[in-house]
Amino acid sequence: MKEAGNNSYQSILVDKEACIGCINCIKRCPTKAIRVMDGKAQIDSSKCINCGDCVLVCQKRAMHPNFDGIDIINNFKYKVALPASSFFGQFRNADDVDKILNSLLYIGFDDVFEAARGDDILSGIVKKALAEGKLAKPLISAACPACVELILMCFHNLKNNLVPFVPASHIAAKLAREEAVRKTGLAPEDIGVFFISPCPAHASAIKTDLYKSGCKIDGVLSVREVSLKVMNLKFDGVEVKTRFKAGTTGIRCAVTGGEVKNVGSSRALAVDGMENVISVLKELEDGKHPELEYVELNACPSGCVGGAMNLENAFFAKSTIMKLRREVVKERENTTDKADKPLDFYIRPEPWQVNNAYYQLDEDFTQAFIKMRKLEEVRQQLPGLDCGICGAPSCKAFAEDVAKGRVSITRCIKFGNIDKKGGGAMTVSEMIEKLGLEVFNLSDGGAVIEDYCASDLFSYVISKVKEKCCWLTIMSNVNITAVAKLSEMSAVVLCDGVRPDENLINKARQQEITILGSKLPIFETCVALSKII
Amino acid sequence: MNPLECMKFSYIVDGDNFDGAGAASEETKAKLKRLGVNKDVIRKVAISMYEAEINMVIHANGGRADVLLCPDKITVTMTDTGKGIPNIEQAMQEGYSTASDKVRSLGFGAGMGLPNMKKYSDKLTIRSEVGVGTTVIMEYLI
Repeated sequence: MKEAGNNSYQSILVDKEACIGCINCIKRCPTKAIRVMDGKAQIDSSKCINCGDCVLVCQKRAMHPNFDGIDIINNFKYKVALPASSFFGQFRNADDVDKILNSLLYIGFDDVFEAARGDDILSGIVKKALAEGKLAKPLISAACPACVELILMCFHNLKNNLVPFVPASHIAAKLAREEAVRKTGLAPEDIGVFFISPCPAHASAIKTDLYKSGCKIDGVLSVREVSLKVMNLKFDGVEVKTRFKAGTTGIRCAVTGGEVKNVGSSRALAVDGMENVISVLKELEDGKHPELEYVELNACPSGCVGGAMNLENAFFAKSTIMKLRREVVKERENTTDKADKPLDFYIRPEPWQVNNAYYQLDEDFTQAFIKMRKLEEVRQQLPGLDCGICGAPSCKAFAEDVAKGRVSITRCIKFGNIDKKGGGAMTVSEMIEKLGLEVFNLSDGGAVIEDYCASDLFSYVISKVKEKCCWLTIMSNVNITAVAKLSEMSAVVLCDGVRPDENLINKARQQEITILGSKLPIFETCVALSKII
Repeated sequence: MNPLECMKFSYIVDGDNFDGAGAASEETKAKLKRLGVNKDVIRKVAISMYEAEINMVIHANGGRADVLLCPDKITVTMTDTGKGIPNIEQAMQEGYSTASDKVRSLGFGAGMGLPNMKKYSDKLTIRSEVGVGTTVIMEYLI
């Protein structure tokens, strides 16, 4: 069973049956977007940058990138495939690039337009813009959507350093649609353009319109699925109707270092692998390298050939691509696409939108300050082992989850990892359901209960309880709200069938105190509680 | 307990360890980002604190960094028990450096440390006694 989150689009789905709740993915995730809850991985899509590292690291193959199936192409009259360059690196034994290209016409497409043709064009534009010195320094490549999302989430200061042009695959898509309209005379909406992507990041970028490029791509298929389909054809029988048109500049963008070669700057840097990207961005953010002109970022080791949705091993794919570049593409160099449209055609129409939700603890500084205090208090109680048993990738991440009230500190191994044993800390809603309590006022059903106290002496209660307590009492005067508020309780349970009067209920609503009722006497309510803790 | 009471973070700066130098300023920077502090203020703190940290590694065999984070102000106190600064006025001049060749070969010791600490903080206080140690206090308004 696959389960999608609340957001309309989630780029990676967790197969709950295959997931065994190990800690490989939570540890690997660069933005700490994954938690293991109830023994299964859960991805927080607001923090996920779709890099695909979890897909690669999962031993149980429980992480499924969310791609369109090939049937989607049938919704259009004329179907154009837009293969990423890494697609051409998937076939170890096939050495005729034209046959690989034309094989796409045998699985349902009417035409092919290599995404690398967009790279040919974009490389020229970027090189020229750099030479004119009009752009921010260093200019940071926006080709890898995972890196773009990372910058918009964690490195806001660098957003204006991102390449301001429409990404190559989108340029290619625009041109592909124009060409198809010319060839067929069909309306643009009858033409389907489908990107064949090596990674979940591109799929997500297209589905969520990350680039706001004003360009439509009608579907995203994975390199893996399409490669498996065309491989069955055994390329020998493929008739060549259209030839491979991308140039060396375009094709080498599939491999780390390609873009840097294309812009031709000696003061440029090519980085790959998420950890390396993060460490370089930290340095750039401090303005430590004013000499740099261009920085190429690739989330995947080796570049796009290392993407999670490729079939072929990244190193073999890289070798195939480089061979292709040297032996085939170079001969046709003079025919490659150039930027022949007005510059507006290539400029992204909207500014980049940063995502504040990730880094800032709160939009409001005072609230953020209070949350940080709390987070540090929790953190000091944790063992600092980063063992992952609580389901969070590190003690730091766990402290934040606790401070935000998402989990109880008792999930930590130091406090007995009580959640795993099946009880102890629970939410107010769980307690209501399990004990069949009556609800007089519910302020926050998701509030966690970490402590319990049964007493009718207010002074005793105030001195004994910790935060997030559930208090059992038979008193029902209005002062219990003050005690509950002061002690930051999660809930008050009135036992022995005691009911609150209107005055108390009003006060509880005002003060946001949860008041519940149990028909059992106080001792028996405790006994019932002990069975579910 | 006042929720807006200042927070104090302390870090030990390891002497003789250029690889680990900058850890305290990086941690501090991350915290300020999480609070949503203005990016120009963050940059000032990151640069000046990094310089102070490096100075401690180069000249004083490490020391201690205390960061006091208040709702309106950040105070960074760098304390060491190194050899001290004989002439602070001279040390404040751009380009003045007593760093060894080995240190310079690593790209440090350009004589920009103290000037940068002054330039990138709202208030800089230096107390130093030869043979006893140095305390650098940098303050920034949020």
